[in-house]
Amino acid sequence: MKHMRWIALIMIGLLLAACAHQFSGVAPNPIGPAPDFALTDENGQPFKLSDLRGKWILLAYGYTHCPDVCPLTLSHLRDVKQAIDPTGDKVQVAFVTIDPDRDTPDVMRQYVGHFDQQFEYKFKGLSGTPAQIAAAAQPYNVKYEKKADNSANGYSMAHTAEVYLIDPQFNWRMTFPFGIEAQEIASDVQYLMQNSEAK
Amino acid sequence: MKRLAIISVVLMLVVSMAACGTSSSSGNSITVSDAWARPSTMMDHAGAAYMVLQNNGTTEDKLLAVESDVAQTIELHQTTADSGGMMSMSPVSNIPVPANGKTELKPGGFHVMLINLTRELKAGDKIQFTLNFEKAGKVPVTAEVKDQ
Repeated sequence: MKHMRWIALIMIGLLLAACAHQFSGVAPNPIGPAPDFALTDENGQPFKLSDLRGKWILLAYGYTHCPDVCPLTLSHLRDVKQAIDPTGDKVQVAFVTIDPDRDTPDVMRQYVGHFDQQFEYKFKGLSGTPAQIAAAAQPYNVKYEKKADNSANGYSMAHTAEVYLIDPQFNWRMTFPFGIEAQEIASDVQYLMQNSEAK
Repeated sequence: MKRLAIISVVLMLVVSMAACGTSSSSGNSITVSDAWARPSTMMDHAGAAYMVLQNNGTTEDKLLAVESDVAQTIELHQTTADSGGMMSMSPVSNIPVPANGKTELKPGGFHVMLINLTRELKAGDKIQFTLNFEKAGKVPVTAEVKDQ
């Protein structure tokens, strides 16, 4: 009888271990305040990232003339939003251009509008001067450079393509590498939303 | 008797399937599957198309060019990542498809770049492409616009 109790306890332990969440993203060590920055939003209005304090922010960098990597990232973020907060404003996507020469606020509004059209709470499309963009990119370790190639599409921008998660207390909670699936990001965000004290 | 008839039918099926396999693996035939393109964002912004190229031949083939009335210019591009995670996109002169193998054009890798679109691409639309291979020649392909 005593053995049975031990076996039951071990079984419960194994079950809990199996259910432990495996993160796809990488948490900064230590977790700390998210770097803030000031840019211009898709309506031409001044915007600070910390204006979104109180929401779960999914932050990505790219450019609108990018036909391959950036639409994949934004489609993933649309799918994450659709999966966990389709009608609410708890999850906010912000897309920062690293190509301010071409990506004006008007272009950013049109571009993010292709990915947020089913939502009442829209994505932020952020632009600015080259110096403002550099100041918004550097603290998140975002790297980018202009590449003159012989494409009819004009120059392209090489850039890192991670997604950063910031919690409602404005702490940088996680970095998602390029190439992971939307459901993996959604699973991590959902877990953190439900266990928001867990760090 | 009934069992013999069933065995005969199964044998005939196996033989005919093997024969099909033999015929398609000779020569430099290319089969294309899972062709799709992203919806356009803006008309002056490039679009991208993806597909799987299967080479049924015994020598390497190369995709040299793609034609379609959907864009004024169509280029072959490749996105690569360096060790620091910088993703860069460059035009390539061809996309190799190994003998008896396949090359997948997918986001973050090889893609067909559609520059100066002639029409808006909406989910559900169909695009006709003609792929031009070094050995297999022209291969027509229909791609569906998918919001994925």
